[in-house]
Amino acid sequence: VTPHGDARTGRAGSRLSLSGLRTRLLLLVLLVLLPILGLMLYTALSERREAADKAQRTALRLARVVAVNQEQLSDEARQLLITLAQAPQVRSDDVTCNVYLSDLLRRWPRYANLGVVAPGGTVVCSAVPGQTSVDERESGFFEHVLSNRDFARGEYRIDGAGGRAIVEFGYPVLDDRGRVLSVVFAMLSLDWLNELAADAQLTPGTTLTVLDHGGTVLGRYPEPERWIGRSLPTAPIVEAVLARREGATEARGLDGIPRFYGFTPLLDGPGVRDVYVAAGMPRAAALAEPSRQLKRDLVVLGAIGALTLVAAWAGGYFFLLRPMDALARAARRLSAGDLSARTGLHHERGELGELSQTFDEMADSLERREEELRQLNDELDERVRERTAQLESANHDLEQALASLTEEKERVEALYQFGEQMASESEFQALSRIVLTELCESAAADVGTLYAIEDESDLDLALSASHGLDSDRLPARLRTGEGLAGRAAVERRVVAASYGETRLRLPAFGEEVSLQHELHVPLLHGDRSLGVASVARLADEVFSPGDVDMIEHLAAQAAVALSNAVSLASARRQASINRAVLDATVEGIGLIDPQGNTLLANASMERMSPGRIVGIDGADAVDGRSPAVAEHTADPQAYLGAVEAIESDPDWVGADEYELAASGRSFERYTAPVRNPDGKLLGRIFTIRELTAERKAERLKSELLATVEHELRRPLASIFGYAELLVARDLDEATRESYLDTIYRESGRLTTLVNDFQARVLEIEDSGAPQSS
Amino acid sequence: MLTPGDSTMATTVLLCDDEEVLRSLVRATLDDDGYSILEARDGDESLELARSARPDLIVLDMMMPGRSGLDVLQELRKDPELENTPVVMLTARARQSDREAAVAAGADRYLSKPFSPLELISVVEDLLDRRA
Repeated sequence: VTPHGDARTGRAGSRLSLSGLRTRLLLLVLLVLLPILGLMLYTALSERREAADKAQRTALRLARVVAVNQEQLSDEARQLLITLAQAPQVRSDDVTCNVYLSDLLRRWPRYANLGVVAPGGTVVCSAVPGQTSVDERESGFFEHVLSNRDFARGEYRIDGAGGRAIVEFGYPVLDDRGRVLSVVFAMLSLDWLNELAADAQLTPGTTLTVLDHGGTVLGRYPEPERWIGRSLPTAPIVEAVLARREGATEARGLDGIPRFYGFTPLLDGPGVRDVYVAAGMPRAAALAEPSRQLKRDLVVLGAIGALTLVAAWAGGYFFLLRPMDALARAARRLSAGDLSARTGLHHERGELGELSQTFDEMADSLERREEELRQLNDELDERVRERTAQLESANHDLEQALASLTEEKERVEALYQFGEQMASESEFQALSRIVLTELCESAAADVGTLYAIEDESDLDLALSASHGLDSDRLPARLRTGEGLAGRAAVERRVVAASYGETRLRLPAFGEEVSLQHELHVPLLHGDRSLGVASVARLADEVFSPGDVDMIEHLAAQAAVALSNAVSLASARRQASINRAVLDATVEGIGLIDPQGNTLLANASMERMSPGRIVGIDGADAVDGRSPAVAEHTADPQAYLGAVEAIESDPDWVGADEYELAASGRSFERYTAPVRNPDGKLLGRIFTIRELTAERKAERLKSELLATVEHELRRPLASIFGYAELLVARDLDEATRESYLDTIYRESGRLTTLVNDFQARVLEIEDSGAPQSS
Repeated sequence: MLTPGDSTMATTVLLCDDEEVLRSLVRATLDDDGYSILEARDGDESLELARSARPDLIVLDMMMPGRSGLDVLQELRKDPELENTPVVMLTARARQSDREAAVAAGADRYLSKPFSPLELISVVEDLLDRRA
């Protein structure tokens, strides 16, 4: 073994142990990097969870927007049907009705069809030709309308021909006794879902799916033609919707793509099975941003780690390994037996100085390492601070988004409540007050007025409601085009005004108020202008474009309700006039349908119903065909003959007379079939006129005539006869006197009779006069 | 009141009327011409007298209490002995229907009240002449 070889071996051995030291140094560096990596992964995981929650909330909000939209469509259909049910065209013949409805359908293209169904289920009138009946098993609304006599809707179902989902809404057409004459219906297709989705500019990959209670797809955005009609009850998302009805989840969609879903019932209500809408946001898109962030952070961390390791490696070699190697070489020379050299280490610069310098360098190197570590730590702290700030900023953004969502939700709820309130009132003035109060509250306005055009022929505006102002001191009427309100009505647009320093002063209750900003909003429904709502603020706060949008939207809704109220009032007024005219008629007038049910009976008919006069239990007001009356008449055979003629021939037209035996009252009755212009039998009309007074007058007259003939002629015969004998014969005085005496006596008798007749003639005239009852 | 006539002496006339004044007038009219007058106050009495006295001519009021003049006339015409006796009908009613009913029942002439006594005499004489 040579010293040289020893030295090499020793050097190799020291290298090995020293390289272990360097490995530990590298491990230390890695150990420092590890918490950074952990923090990074934890942050990334939180962000992914946050993104997933946000996507689910967004999906649920989207599903609810769809559901609110469906509710609005349902309300709109209800409003339309209420108006339709009052329309005279709907009660008229098929042709008029068909034309009216198809015209209406052009104005409401959202609906697939509008129509009228008879109580038997036959479609009597339809905007789209070809529909002849309503399939009760499929639609469901019809029975609800008949039994509740109110608005009802059916269930969504797949239209066999069209390959789309449709739902029907129905509303009863009632007669003035509250019976269902027919049912008007509107058919709505689910096409609006795709229109809504297209308008909403959804994130690419977003889906909207409408499912029925059995898991059949009723509507899908996008690719409706691929999915509608397919029954997929075992698809994971369908199972989740059917089990939970409303909520949010992560699941694979119908097409197998994982998404975040929000779902809610689309239309729920009594007697109708549920339909749901599910909105899906693609998982990949929702988590794209956190993934990208994580990748970037990992790359940066990897780069920093690699640089640090290289620096540690190089630094270890220059500052640690090389001096240690030199020191070791000196130590090996010492161990070779050079003792002086060993002691020289403490006192001289030689090996000792080198060793101390090596140690100093080693200490320096260690100090620098420590400094580097401290700097690294500071960097780490800085990064943590940065991340914390980023997180705080993200949290702030989230809170802001949540606040704007809450605001939007309140707005939607306000709109919904406004609609509800308006639907609950049909009287024009009361409705005007509700509308104005709501408009003022929604616009944060202090005062307001509503001038209305109630009558289409009269274009002047009449004050119908005021808010915060003394209505007695406001102009009751405005001419067309007068003032800003009149201008808004004529130009059919919103007119805004601000007054600045020269404020407009108006009388409020007990004081004057100064208006700063005004807004005049026309109430428009189709071509029709219902009036103008004016709202104003006392404070100097301009109406923002958002305020104006909101008010215009509410005004449009209000105009629909006001228009309905006007139509309803007009229909009621006309009906009450018709009723009053009928009731003022002396003749009894009654109408029965072909089944014998009373459709109409005026007050005189109620009084003159033969069944009621003779006291038959449960007699109808119009009982012209009741054989039970016959036995109470003076001539039952004649009465039964008339009844039989009416029963055997629907086209029988004629009149008969009958006398009620007990009271001696006699009546003339006329009857004829009533048909609509198409010749369809609507029923039979009866008119009854009381003849009792006429008959009595005739009887008295005939008695009087007999008396005149008999009673008057007798004394006249004596007077005439004796007078002729006096003239013709030459008689002695006694006979002449006797004859003259007789003539005188009979003349007195005649005078008495004539006076008596005069009294009886007056009696006849009195009894022949029309009865005051 | 009843004056049983001598059929060989004078022509007998049966006068049927419920009213005394009328009977007096007819009596005054016919008495003067020498007729023998029998008087009856109602339908039954008229029939009885006609059957018992067999007058040459009957003046019959249409409206009497009980059996009416038309009933009496129909009964007379059923009697073989009286079926050809001339009958002058008097009535307080002047309707065509009454006239036709009287002729149908077998009246020879018909006078409505008031009537002319002179016409009555002429009618009576005419009927009696025709019979003779």
